[in-house]
Amino acid sequence: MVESQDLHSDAMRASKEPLDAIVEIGKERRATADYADRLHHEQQESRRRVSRSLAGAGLAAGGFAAYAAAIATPAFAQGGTELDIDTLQTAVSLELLAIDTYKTALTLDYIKANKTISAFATTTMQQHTEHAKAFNAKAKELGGKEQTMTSPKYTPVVKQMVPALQKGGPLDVVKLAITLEDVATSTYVKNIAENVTDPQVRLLFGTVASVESQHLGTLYAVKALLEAKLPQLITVKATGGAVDLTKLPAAAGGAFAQEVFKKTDLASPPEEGAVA
Amino acid sequence: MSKKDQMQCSEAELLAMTRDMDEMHRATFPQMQQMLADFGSSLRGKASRRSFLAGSGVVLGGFALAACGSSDDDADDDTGSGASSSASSDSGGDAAADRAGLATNASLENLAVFAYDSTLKAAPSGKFGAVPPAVATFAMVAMQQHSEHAKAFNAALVNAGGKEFTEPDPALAGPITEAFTALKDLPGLAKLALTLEQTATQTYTKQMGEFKSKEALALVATIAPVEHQHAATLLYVLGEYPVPDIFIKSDLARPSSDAGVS
Repeated sequence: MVESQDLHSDAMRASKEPLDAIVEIGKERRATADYADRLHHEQQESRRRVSRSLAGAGLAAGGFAAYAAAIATPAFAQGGTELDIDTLQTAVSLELLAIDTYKTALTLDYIKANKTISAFATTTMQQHTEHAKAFNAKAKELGGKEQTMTSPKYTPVVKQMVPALQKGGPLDVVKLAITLEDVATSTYVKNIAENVTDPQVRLLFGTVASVESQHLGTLYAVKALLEAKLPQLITVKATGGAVDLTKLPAAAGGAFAQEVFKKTDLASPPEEGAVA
Repeated sequence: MSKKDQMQCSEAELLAMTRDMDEMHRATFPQMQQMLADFGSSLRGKASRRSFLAGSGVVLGGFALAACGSSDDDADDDTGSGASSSASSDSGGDAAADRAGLATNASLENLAVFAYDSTLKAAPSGKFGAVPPAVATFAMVAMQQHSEHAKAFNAALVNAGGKEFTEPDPALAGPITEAFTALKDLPGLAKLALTLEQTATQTYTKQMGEFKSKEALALVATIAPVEHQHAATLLYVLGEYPVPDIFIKSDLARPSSDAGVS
């Protein structure tokens, strides 16, 4: 656990700065006329999109008066913001579930017995904690509520698996963690590409998505080494010494990055973990 | 020491791995090849470029190479005028800014392909000492993925009304070529590759707050995580923890004006 704490301390020191920078950039941008112009432009675009959508849904005739009233209200003007808040709250729910899952994993004897996997679980849990804080802070800044609950979709699945994990081995935990990290990465990537309207929220998702993708890639590699019966090669300087590269199977070189483009099939929809 | 000893996968395997990419390399990077052939001509990095490799810990010949400047006026003369990357509230300005960024991204991918391809070509000579099979596999996989990323950025660039950008990043090509030529061992190679991967990830992440078009956003969103997985692999190769940061940093991010496209 000493090694885990070292890793964690290093990671924490290394990463507060970017988040602070994003917050500062956000404040600076919001303070400029240019940012205000761009936000106004985006809100107009959002209104046009909804207008087209409503028209396509046949609401343009019977519901026109209500629609006209709606676009005049500040609440509607923040339609993009509402969606952004939903995405942030759903993201928190995924982060909280990941935290709970790694916390559970760290109670398992076979995880505690592997220094590197144990260190990974500890450090990753702390990183997810910081991600959850950042997403909640942004949701509140945009006028939303803090999300404090774990993912409503995946929590029952994880709970159901706990008894089997207690009787299983590291590979079972790794496979579950792969799914959760993939869901998080996919969700954030899709949010950036399709759902979020505020550039600062997109940036926040971007700074987290690639970290989750590293968790995912690391877990892919750990899974490959466990399946190859080479657990001794799951090691870094801080836990058991640098890996002996000459003993790695050739295929291990491609284990971390298994997708040319990050797929988003597992992405959670914005409303999945939103707080009413 | 024989070639077989230096490159622990067989030469036949290496040749098979590189054959397909070789033709593409020659067709795509004539300028880079010329730079390697005439290394002396590449030793003209501007002082303002120093922070790039300095920040990543790559040191060459006793002095830190650095960041190829981030200002538009630092662009090489042969790369055309600096791109207009400044924010604009009109859609024409947004489209131009997106095109500039997409061209820069294609140039970063081209540079990465060049670096991995050069690695696979130089490895049998023993330039980096013994190269384990897993490392050779990684170089091949990463090169192929970067090649696909370059194609995707270029396709989006063409869709946005621009032209394909087939050269490596004009601001980084010189310092990277210089650093690559000076490499003598595997850790040095891994650190240089790590710098390229982190630069790509950070550039694309920064653009997530800048791009306007859905296509451009979808590309940087789906590609940045893959580059960061490459970085995780390289950290593991170096014996380091593969996920050192809680949030993506921005100190290595390149400006969208790097490719000089407006």
